[in-house]
Amino acid sequence: MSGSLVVVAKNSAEHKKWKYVQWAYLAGFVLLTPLVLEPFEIGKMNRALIMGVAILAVNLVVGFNGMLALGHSAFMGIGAFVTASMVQDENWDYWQVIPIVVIVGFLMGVIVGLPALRVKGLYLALVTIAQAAVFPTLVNIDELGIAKRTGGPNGKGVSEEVIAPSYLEWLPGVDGARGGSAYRFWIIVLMVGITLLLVTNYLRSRPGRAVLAIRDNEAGAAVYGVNLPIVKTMNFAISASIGSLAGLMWCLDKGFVAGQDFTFLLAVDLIIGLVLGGVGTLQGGLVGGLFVVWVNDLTKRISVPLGLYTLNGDGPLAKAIFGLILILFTFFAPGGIVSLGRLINNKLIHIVPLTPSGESIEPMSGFDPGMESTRADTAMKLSIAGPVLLGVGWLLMNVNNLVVGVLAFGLRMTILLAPVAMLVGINELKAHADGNRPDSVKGPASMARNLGALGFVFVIGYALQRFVQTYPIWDIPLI
Amino acid sequence: MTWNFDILPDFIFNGLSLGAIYGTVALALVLIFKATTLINFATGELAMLGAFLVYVLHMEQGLWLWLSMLIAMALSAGLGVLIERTLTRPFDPSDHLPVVLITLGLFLIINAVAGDIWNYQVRILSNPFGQFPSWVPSVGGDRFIMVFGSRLKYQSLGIWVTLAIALFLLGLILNRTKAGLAFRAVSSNVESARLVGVHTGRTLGFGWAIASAFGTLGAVLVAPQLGGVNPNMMATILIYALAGAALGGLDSLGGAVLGGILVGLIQAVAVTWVGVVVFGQLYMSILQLAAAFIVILIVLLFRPSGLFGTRRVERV
Repeated sequence: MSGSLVVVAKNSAEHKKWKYVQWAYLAGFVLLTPLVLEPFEIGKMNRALIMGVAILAVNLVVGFNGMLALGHSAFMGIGAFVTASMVQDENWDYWQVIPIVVIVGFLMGVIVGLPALRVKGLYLALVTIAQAAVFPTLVNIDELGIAKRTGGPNGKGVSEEVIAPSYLEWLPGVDGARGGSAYRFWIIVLMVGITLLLVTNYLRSRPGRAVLAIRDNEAGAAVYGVNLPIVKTMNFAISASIGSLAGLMWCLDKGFVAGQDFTFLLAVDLIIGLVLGGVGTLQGGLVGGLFVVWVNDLTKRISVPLGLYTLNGDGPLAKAIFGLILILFTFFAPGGIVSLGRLINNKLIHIVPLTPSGESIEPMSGFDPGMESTRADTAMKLSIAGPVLLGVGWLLMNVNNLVVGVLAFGLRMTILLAPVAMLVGINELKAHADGNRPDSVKGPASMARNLGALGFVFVIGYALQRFVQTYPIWDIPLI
Repeated sequence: MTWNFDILPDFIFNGLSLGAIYGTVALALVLIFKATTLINFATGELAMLGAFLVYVLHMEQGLWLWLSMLIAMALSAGLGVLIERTLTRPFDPSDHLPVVLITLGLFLIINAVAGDIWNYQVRILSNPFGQFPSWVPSVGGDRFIMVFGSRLKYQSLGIWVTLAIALFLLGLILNRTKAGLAFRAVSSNVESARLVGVHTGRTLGFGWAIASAFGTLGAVLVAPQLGGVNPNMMATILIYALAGAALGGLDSLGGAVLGGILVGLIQAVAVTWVGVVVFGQLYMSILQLAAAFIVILIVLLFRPSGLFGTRRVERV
């Protein structure tokens, strides 16, 4: 606790300030994505978000209900094919298809889930793995008009673009015109946001709490009057409808759907993303989606010559790396990246819970290290680290174009650490003015504050520069 | 619609021999499930690796087919023990998620490594039952005999006999040896077995070993039907085997074999014969895999413990 840089009481004004900082980071991250990234990288980000929604759906079953679902690729496929067929053949709008996709996904979830969830054990895994294996073959059936709807083995292209609501048109990248990956990015972000909000509320609702109770103690939940099969099946069906929604987003983003995109391997990717991100956490899905896409991209570039044999990440071995990551995470980081992130976050900020009457269990002053405080030194180091890396990266970039990575890393470090260093510096200076710190704190604290503020200004300036570069505002006629 | 009964025995024989192979793989699944209540999703890939070992020993090194089969079975049994010891034993067996994740990871790794070494092309592996040996009097031809006016392939006969011998040996091991007794004790109750001094870890490793060996046997037997060995050969076989195991009851060894055979019959007779021959609709052949899925759903709806499985009673 005393190791944390900042200690705040829960729901205090100070805590709210840090919450705003968090939201600002998130908003900045989302807003900068279409500006900073190249179009094909925005496309990757879109894919990551779509995978994130699908992983969230899997998480609802695996992480929050303790059941094993391995077949969400099929639900994604159903959503994608329903969307492709409705938009391309029936000329519906994407937004109109959403209710259809959600209902179809829900019904499929009931059909698959009900038989398996009536009994305890691994039966859901059994059914869903079969479902994932069967789905790509069903798409190719010639009869009943199925192949005509799905495009059979050739897949189906969708030429229609999604139309954004008019209130989205001011956003960067949208530019009034339809199409483009940045444009789709905003639509996907909107859908992801709404889905996350709904899922958060669902988990806090009465059925949601029943779902969590079943995970924690099945027999106990039953004793408290939770109808196990019904709650489990409903949860699975909701998860299936979210998976189908991810399928809709897939179709909207790619404009092309084919049966071989929705094989068992996609389902395994979802599971890997879940474990990478963090089982049983809401953020885990998005983090996992990001990492699945990122790792997939990274492994493709690996090429290590080992004598006669070349270890090539572009071939089948990419999957082996995924498998290895899955096993390593299961062994050494079962909480996923989210739990590692929380570990770091706890080093930075510690939130003290309050009693119902609003008292801190321990007086807040008890968390103050007083004259022995080393916070100012740490804050100073944090404020220096980002710019130093940035400088080294800049130097290296001029020597050799290949090490741009250090520059990018330094930039991210600055973005993340500058505001923290600045706020901690301000806090320490305030404590010094109160007579709580020795005079030696003054130097590092003001340095942390100033460097942090400088980094902050630099980041904002950088963002503005990128914005202006992409959208030359002086070209826009004022009248 | 023509109910062409003349060729029905063909389909039945085919279904029975496919089913016997599904039964073998289902047995590998059930052997591990019985002891740990865990579904090993890497069963199929371990079996595929075994088949490739046979390919290397027999086709590349020129060893006698049956000897290379025995060596491959022993090697994959060793691999099974190794996996059990290093990857699954550290985890709490009552928590399914980590161990299933491990088997999924193994699935990916084995498949990818095999794909990297041997490509994804189909490689011909010679058929252990291609032609009747010369001492068998020829009845119909050198590859089949005529039964009920249909061809009963030597391959089918060979698969049945092999499976029967393997089952007999498994029965002997489980019922007549100390390790088998320990295995039965562990699969009936881990806690009690441990209390009476059974070394549970070693016994589970023994289960993994037998299961891997049986998987390898199944993969080698099924290879000629698929045209040879390739890294993805077991993908669909695993689904049929899962259906067979569910049908027979996940904790019944005999049930697994019978369930596998029934799934093979359903695939060959109910889907292929009725759909393709009687109704003349080719798309029905696509539904073979869907039939396995539907079998699992129906079993879970009407008899979750399977035909021969024991119903689980849980005390709180």
